[in-house]
Amino acid sequence: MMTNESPANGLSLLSRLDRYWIKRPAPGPVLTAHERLICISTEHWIKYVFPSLLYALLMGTSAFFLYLAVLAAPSIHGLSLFFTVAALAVFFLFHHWFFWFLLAESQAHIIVTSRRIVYIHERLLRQEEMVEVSFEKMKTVEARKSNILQIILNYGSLDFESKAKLTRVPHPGTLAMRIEQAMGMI
Amino acid sequence: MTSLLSSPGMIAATAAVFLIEAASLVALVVGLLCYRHIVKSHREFLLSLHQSEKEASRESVGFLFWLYLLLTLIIVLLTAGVYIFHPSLF
Repeated sequence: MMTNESPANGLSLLSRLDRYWIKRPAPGPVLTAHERLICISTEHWIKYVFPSLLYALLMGTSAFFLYLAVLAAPSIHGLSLFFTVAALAVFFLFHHWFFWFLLAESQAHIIVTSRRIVYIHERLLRQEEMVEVSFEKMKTVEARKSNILQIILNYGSLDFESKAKLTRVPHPGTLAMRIEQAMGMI
Repeated sequence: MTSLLSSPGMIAATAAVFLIEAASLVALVVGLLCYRHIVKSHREFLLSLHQSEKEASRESVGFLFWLYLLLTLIIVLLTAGVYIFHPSLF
C-alpha cells in the first residue's frame, strides 16, 4: 500500500453509497499524449495471509461456541441459547468482514506508465484511494526487501525518494528496473 | 417447529437467529453489488489505458464472487435448517 494517501472522497455513509448508485459520466482519456502503459501489477498475496489466519481462528471460536451450546443444552437451556446466538453472530460478522476484505483487496492495482505510477485501491463502502507519483517530480526508485520472509517470497517495497512508498510489491527489483527505464524516457 | 416458540427465551433466541440470518443476507447483497461496481469501473479504467479487451476481461467478477455468494447461502440455509428442524440440539 502507498503511504501518501489522497484525501477521503466520501464523508458520510450516504455519500459513499452515492458512488455506487448514481451513474456518473464516463471519464475522459486517462493517458496523456506520448504516455504509454508499461505494466499493471497487483500487490503480493502475503496481504491475505494474516486475515486468513484470523478468519480461521474466529471460525474456530464460533465452532467452539456452538459446541458449548450443544453441551449446555440438556442442563442450562438459557446458556445454550445464548451460545447459539453468540456463535452465529461471531460467525456471520467475521465471515462478511473477511470476504469484504478479500473482494476489496483483489481490486488493488499498481499501474506503471511511461510518465507516472498510479496505485488504485477501492474498498467496499469506504473511501477509495488513488495515489499518483509523477516521474517528472521523482527521478529515482529504490527496491527494498527488509526481512527473510520478503527474500524467500520475493516481495518488498518501492521507495520513491522517501516521499512515497509502495509496500507488498511482488518482484520489487524487476518492477523498479522497469520504472527506472520509464523514468529515463522523460 | 412449535418448540421454537415454546418459551420467552426460545422466542427471543429465534428472533435473534433470524435477525442475524437476515442481516447476513443484506450484507451479502450489498457487498456483491459494491464489488460488481468496483470491478466494472476498474475494467473501464484498464480499457481506457489501452489494454486489450482480453486483458481487461480478467477484471471480471470471478471466483471470489461466486465463492462468497454460494458459501454464504449454503451456511445461511444450513444454520437456519438446523435451528428450525433440530431445536432440541440447543
